[in-house]
Amino acid sequence: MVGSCRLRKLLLVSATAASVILTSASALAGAPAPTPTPSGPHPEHQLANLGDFKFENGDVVKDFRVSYVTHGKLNKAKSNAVLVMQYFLGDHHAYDALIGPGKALDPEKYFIIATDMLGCSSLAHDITTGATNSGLKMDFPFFSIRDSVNVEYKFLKEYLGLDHVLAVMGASIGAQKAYQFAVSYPNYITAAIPIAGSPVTGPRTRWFTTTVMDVIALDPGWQAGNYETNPLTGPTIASRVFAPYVFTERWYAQNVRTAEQRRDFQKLWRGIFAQDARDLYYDLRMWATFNLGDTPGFGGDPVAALKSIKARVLLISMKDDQMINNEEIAMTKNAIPGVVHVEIDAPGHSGCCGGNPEANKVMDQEISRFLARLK
Amino acid sequence: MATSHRTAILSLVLWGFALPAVFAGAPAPAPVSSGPHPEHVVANLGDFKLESGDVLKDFKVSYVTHGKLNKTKSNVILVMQFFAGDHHGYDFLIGPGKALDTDKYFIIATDFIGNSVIRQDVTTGPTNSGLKMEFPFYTVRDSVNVEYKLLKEYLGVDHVLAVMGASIGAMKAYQFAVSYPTYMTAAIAIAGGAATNAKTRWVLNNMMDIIALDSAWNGGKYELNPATGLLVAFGEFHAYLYTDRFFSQNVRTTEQRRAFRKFWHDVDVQVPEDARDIYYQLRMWAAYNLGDSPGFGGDAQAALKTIKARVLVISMKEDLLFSTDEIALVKNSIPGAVHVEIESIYGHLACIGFDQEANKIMDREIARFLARLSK
Repeated sequence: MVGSCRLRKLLLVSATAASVILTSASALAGAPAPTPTPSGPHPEHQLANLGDFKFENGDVVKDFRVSYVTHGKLNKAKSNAVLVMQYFLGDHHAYDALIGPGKALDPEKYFIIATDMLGCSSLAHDITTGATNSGLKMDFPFFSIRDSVNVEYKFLKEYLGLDHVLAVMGASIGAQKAYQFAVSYPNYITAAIPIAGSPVTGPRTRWFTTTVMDVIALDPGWQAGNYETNPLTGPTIASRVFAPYVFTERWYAQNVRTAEQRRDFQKLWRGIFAQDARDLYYDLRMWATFNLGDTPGFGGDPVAALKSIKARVLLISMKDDQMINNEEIAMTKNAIPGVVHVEIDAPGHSGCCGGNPEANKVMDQEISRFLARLK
Repeated sequence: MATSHRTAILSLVLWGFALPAVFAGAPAPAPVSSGPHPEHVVANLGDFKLESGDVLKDFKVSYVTHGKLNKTKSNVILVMQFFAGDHHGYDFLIGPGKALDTDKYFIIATDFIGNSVIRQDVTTGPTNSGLKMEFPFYTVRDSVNVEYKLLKEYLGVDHVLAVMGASIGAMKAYQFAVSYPTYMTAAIAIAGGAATNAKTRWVLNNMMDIIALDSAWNGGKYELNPATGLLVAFGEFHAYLYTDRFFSQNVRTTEQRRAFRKFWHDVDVQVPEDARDIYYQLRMWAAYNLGDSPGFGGDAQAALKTIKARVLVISMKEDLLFSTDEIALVKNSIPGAVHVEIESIYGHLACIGFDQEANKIMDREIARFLARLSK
């Protein structure tokens, strides 16, 4: 697929931004924009048609498609599949920094499946079905994290014919999906690797994600979500409302201090949010309303749901994460039987998404170690 | 004055009601009058010259006074309003036996330049002047110069015992102490810093962008106040006014969320703010740096070091708008500063009367500090 290397560029740009933390405050302001040369794996983009897909609310969307790439080869025993699930604003490239020979997600050992999630907000057309590319616009059913996980499962089980996967992994929304996968399909996976995600979207995070939705909808071009031309101003401002939660306050004090740094940072976010406004809106709603405890049978109790997890879990969290608080992390690690927990000292949530070389190094090391022990 | 004020209503809504109960759906308390209600006075200062060189004719300042000026004119305390507030902002600390004791002190409570109350007879600003976006952008220094001119020229006060303020009011207290170092004995700065930090500046700029995104904003030249953008902008702000803990405890359930939203919606509907005036206030706040006072070359710390007044710094422990680094800078740079830190689940909001326990501490510490001045 040609269109979706935008995220690769984004990761390179944010890698530059993040490296500032470790070196000096000058990089954001003065460093030349990184060259968007291709790096990392570029496997063939594939599109699976799952046929009818039924949402939790009973709605059915016909010809439901899932876009994905794979890295490495499925072994004979079909025992080396690892599913990586994208985060908000991402796509199937989200974890490229961890994929490659000798890396944690080693294609010489594992068959890595990287999907674009239900409602992926990339402007490309040939990606996983969502509100915009289905043509349904606001008539597209509002979906939950469970719907998104059900899509992944149906795709793996029915389309790829996999009866079991070694691990499911994801950061942020991807982490929420990893918890959900482990609760919804407890025997389907050996392990789950949630990175910087909460089993219940915290009330403050829910508040600001809802505000981000309100800002998108305030754009006069939004037209109650039924626009033909993607509105850009609302999402651009929405991106700036989102941005403070991605880094820490100290990071801002060092890197977004001067007028020039502010401009560069605004430009970075304008690029990141250059996605489909309607899909963003749906994704934000999915995120805002997530509660693992809403899984049937748990009566809204996320702890009860976490306790039912059978998979071996590696929980990675970022220190000073402005989206996920310490209580949520403590609740998670205390509830999941036998969980392994690693905390990374990154400038907040940003550490989870592949743009921070130091955080990547720790994740790479810990994930490889964890996966090696599974065998 | 007859019409109710935003801060008065906020206080009335909050005092005497445990917040969880309010947010769980308790009926809104009747807006009965309480606290001091002295006569609203409007002073005409004649021509007022801003730092930019612009001159505003017939510049008016609205204020109230509490207590009596003593014979030696040595008991004057100026209290300066905060963002979106008015001269009622510190009513909770004013009264016989309270910190701002009306039996001891002559308290002058002003509405600052660009006050956003929607009425004509308040301190001059973009909207009530009729100048709209032609009104010059003003700074915290301009705002302090207005207060000084009122005190010195209009009221004929040659020296004040103390200047006090919270949030923007605290910035003004620092600025007053730097701009007019020998005019006051003391300054009391509550929950404010010496320069708006990068993250807070970012958030405030977003709020301006959100206000301007409203299709009724019309480049700021509207006739009818655009309320939607303003509400969404305040939505972003609320995430920083409280602590994360507050949201986890009080904005968790659907019912609580609805009540929280309704609470702020009601405040905004009962006492609407003028969008243009808010926009100007945000710009003033975002651009603030004490170091920009002439002679300091942008160095806030150098400016703080010149302060001659005795200073009481009060900060809120988990304030999401003012960082611990900023508070440390302030207290370590001002010669002989006294520092009191208050822990409150309300975070920044504790500085304007939202937390009865915090109010008690402020009342006690300010009373003690003021008592020591006269010795």
